[in-house]
Amino acid sequence: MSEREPRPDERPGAEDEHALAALLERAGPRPPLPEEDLARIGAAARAAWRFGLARRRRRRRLATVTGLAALLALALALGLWTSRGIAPAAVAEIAAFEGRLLASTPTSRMAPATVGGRLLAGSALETSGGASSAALALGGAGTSLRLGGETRVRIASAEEIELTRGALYVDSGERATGGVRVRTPLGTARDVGTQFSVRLIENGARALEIRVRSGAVAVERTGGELVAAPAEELLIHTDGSVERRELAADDPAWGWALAAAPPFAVSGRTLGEVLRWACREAGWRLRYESAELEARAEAIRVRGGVGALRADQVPFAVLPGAGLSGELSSSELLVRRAD
Amino acid sequence: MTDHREDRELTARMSAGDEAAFDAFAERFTRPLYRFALSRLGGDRDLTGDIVQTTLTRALTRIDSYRGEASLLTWLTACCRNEIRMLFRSRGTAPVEVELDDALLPSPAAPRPPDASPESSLLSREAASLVHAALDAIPVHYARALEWKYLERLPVQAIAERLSLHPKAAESLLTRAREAFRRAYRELGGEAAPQPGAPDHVRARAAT
Repeated sequence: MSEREPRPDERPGAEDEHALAALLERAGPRPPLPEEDLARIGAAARAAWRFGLARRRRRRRLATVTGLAALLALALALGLWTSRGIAPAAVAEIAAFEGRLLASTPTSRMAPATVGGRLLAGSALETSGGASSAALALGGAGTSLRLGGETRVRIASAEEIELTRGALYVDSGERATGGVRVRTPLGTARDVGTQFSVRLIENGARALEIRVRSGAVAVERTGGELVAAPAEELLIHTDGSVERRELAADDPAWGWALAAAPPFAVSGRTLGEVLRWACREAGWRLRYESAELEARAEAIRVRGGVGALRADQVPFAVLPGAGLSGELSSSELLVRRAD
Repeated sequence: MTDHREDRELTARMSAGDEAAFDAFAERFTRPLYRFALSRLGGDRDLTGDIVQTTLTRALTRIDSYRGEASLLTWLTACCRNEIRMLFRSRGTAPVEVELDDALLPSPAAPRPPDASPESSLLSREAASLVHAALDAIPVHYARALEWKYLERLPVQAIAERLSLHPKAAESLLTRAREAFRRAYRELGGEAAPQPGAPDHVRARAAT
């Protein structure tokens, strides 16, 4: 490798930084890791570590005392190895928030949370103020969880959330098979691969509002199970009565969940990926004018960021650069060649 | 030559039974090891889970033997490579070795065409996984700052605002983040951690 003289106008380390920037760009964004796998590994590792500690202590202590410790540690290790989710483990990560967000762990009191903070099973979260919101990455299957204003939840596990106040939006991802349960005092909503929200309404009479954007939600409650269909809203009252109404996937009622969406790094992704993400967030169907355009969108890589643009604004920012345009009509984004 | 004092202190605290030290250990190493193994095992989650769990449990039962000759990340990565090698040996198959073909990468002597974006020569999955694992291995705010700067192309001012820092402090943080990234990348086996004068391409070393 040959040395070269730095140009006078070149600040120290600029070439170094350029090489690092190129490396990161070519690697692209980090794909998410399966949190449930990491949690299971973490629990097993902790058990092994404790077992190792106990074993070392056994060598230093009297045989009767250390023998008991080793047996206890072994029992703990075996319990953790064979029973997932017993030990507290990180089950969610804070992706973004607006306003004030407080978090507590099973062993600590409520304190201001930070982006990137990982939440153990049993952690509680609270948004403070009507305009506040938060987005979490739940588990490892790509589930996105969003909290509306004045909301309080407890993350019981990567599959179970307890909602005690406010509103929660769940997007279990395109490939997810569902399985997230939202427990409330008025019933439990269980998704089957979907986007939905659950809100506890407490203005005088209590009620549970379930909105389904895509997929379906099963609601378990006293008196039997209900199923909420796509583009449907259920209002379940404490007396058992249920009101149903239609709610389009791009109804303005979903606006808070769109605004609370976590940042999405578009650089390095294909145009097709970016459009699918934007349409899912906005509640639109995506259609291309031709199969050729669809194939072209999968071959075009997006470069750079979209800053603070919302998902529903992104297609109209990125399509012109590819010589394409987007036309929105009846909840459908039609991608065509630019005139 | 570094003596990996922080790593030795961490393992000493773990040996003394310090739960917070174990939390720090798990936080720092589980993700990069998982990502490191996942790409070398063809994305097989079940196999990756088994290998990483075995790597960590075996390493933890002999954590007293860590002397700081190499960083903990290097030590654990070597253990993980060994587990993968043993797995393939027991199955009688060879792991898929990955090395980017220089001929497919832009030559340092031949400048990239002006209309070609860096994304036009994305790294192979295995090579990219090393970069991602290195990001996983450094403090979260360092990794985020690097991603904001180089993937989202945010200006330093915007990064400073996100981190509630003065722009000068954000610059300083980015400098430390770059250093931490280079170190982690090297420790994971990245052969050509970007250094001054290094060619503008990188080779991924064979997995095991």
